[in-house]
Amino acid sequence: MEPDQQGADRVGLKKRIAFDYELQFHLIAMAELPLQSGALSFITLDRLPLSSWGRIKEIDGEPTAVTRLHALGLLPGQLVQQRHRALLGEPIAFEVAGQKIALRNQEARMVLVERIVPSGHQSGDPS
Amino acid sequence: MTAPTTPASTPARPGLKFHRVALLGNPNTGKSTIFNWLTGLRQRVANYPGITVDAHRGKMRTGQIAWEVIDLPGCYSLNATSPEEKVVVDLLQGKGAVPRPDVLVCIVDATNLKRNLFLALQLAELGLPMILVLNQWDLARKRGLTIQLDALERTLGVPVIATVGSRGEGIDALREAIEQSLENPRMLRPVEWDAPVQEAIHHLRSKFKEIGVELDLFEARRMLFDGLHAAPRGFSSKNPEASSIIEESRAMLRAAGLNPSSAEAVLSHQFLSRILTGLVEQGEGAVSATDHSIDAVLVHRVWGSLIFVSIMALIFQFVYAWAAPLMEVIESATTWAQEEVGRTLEGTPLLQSLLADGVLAGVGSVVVFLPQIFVLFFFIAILEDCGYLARAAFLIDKLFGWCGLNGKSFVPLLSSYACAIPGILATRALEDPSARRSTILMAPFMSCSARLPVYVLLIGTFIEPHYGPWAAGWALFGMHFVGLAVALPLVWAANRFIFKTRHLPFILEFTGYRIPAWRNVVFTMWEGGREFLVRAGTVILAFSIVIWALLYFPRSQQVETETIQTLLEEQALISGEPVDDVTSWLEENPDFAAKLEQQLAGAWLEDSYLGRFARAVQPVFSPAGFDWKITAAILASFPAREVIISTLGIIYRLGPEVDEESDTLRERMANDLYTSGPRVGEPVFSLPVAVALMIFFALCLQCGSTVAVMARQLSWTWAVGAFVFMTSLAWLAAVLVYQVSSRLWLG
Repeated sequence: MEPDQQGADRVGLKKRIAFDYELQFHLIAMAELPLQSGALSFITLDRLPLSSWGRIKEIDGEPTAVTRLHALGLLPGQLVQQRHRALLGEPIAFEVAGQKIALRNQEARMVLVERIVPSGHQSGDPS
Repeated sequence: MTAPTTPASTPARPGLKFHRVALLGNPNTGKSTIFNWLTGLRQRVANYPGITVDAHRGKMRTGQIAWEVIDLPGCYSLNATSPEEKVVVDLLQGKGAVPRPDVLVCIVDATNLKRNLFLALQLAELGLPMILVLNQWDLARKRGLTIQLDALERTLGVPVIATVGSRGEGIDALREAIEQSLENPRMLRPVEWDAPVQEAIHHLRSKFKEIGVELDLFEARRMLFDGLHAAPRGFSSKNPEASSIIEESRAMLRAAGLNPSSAEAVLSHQFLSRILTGLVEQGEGAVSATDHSIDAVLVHRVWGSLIFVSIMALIFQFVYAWAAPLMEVIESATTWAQEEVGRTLEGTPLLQSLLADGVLAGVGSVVVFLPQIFVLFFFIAILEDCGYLARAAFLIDKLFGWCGLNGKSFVPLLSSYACAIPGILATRALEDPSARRSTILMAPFMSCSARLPVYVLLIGTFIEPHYGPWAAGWALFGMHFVGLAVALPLVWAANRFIFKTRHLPFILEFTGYRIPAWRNVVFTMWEGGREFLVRAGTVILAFSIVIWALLYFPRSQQVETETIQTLLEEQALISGEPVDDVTSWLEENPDFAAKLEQQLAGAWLEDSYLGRFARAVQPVFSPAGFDWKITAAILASFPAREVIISTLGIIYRLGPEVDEESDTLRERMANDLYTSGPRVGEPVFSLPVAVALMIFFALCLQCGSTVAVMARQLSWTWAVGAFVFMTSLAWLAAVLVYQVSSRLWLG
């Protein structure tokens, strides 16, 4: 891949997370997601806690891995749930698109997800 | 029906009239099961030139038409970014040594239709007739998925056949569909791309035409979505404008709000969702509740790991112990056959020895591995078929990931502790070619069961008498980890600095648990055994005959006469009366005859080409403290390391039948002194020598069968390279151990 193209394809992840943070309010306003205000956060898939759900925002990184993940059905908008973590911290198994798939941290870090806390699960939130 | 229907399908050789059908599909869709149903036992593994992936080929007949069925490696997509997928693409485009197939059979998992159809959509762009097989139909029904086959067939434009691979249901319908596809070829409905994609592809093709490169639609799409990865090697240097054209067209996608690297997958899935609406009713949650509850135990951090260790211990025990009685049967059958041959051919010693010690010993040394191969493949097939293997790889992956291996390397490496051959054959489960290669290269470092007799003999002779059974036990335990401890960092360094392997993403799919199909289990065992017998067996047999010849010839009459003379003189000294008629005296004294035979065998070995060669190369091994006898024993055991025991038996005038527990052999080795040279009077074997010899055996690739199997799985270059490397490494380590330890002991 050409360097300039690479630059265009891969905006730094950090930058984008910051940008997405601003977007959050718009997303809430659009009411597309079953989210509660306090629950909104963008994290990489490797940091999704056990049994919790996320919605894939995008996948970015080494092209081979990205296309492989896409082919396995990890696409923007898909819901993903963390199911198991191996004894030594990785790989991590997820349920996504009606199947169970295990990834190493390196690949899981390429997937940016939006954490979802189903409504009703939050207690003591005045809003 | 004789003439091929598509111009691309001309047979490789003009005289041969058969058509080709290629099977494709995601991994774990039951593709090989369908292949086995179609071809039966008329199949073989074909390594296409220059390809590291195995493609199975088999024959099939439908009516009057002969078919070659090609089972391509399972893949999730045809993206050019992955080297092994590119191999499949080249093959389907007829760029390799094999012509394009006439028909494609795309096998999809009916329980996960949408994901599986992504590959089918990519295949559609190749412009080949296709048949869609919905496998695991029973499972899909059970999970409450309803798929309207007729409507699906109308929507997609190709025949859709529901099959149950484990029971062979739907196979006849599939055969019929394959046959009909020649007369009535049907193509899969391609993705209706959005305008921006169409424009970008048009732009790409017309610009390339300007610089004199004609791209078909498939190539153009691959370049658009995969960038320069899709271009052939050296393409961009020949066409300097290529990358800027590709970048321009990708920029067109970006301008339309699409991310070029994910556009294909996203748009294809949108397209699928659109056309499948109403045809496929996904039941509630495709991962079944039963699977979740089994996983809750089997993949549990604590319980899962414990169960994993127990299962692996059990398999290892079975490979080690179950196979033993069968191996003993084969060994005694070999011995029996050798004795029979010996008796029948008593008059012609050359033929007798060639058949008994060359051919039969060679055949025996091949067949003896079959029980272990069958037992291991029995368990692997069961674990794989029931869905546990992926979970096992999940649990253990972290331990192997750091050095370029992965969780799937574990079973092959563990079984290499019993024998490297089934271990290397079992690496087929690894999809990542570089991890597979690393695992194959590591397998012979694992302490296989043939090394055990060497350790037992040397530890029993030189460690146990001086340091007690505890030290002996620990020494034996420690020797089993020498190879692993040396190999792991080597593999890490090789992957990091020499091969500079691009790390492929390691992604495991947890398939649903199911009861293994016995047919699959039998096929897997059969395939493993046959592969070894046919491919490696011939090479091993050749090796054994060469070593036999080196040990047998020149077999001069002079040596025999001298040996008899010396013995008789000794006898005369003891008894006081000379022997006149040698033949009748030998008949009267069977003990003496046996002694003569042992002496003669030893004398012949010393005089053989191998014995002479050992004396010639002894200076090479002397830095490790080995005398010519140890050198000869090492050289003779290059085809199979356990041969060292019988060779030492012959050298120490005890005949080839000694085993590692033999007290006489131990005694003679311990009391053997140098009779000439600078070290005259010193013992031949000292503790440093014994340890150096064990280290040599731990690291050296002294196994013709392993070399042959490695050559089969990788290439002869790799196999010979591994042999040279491991031999040099073993020599270096033995010298180091001897020099350091003898100085420490002496100082």
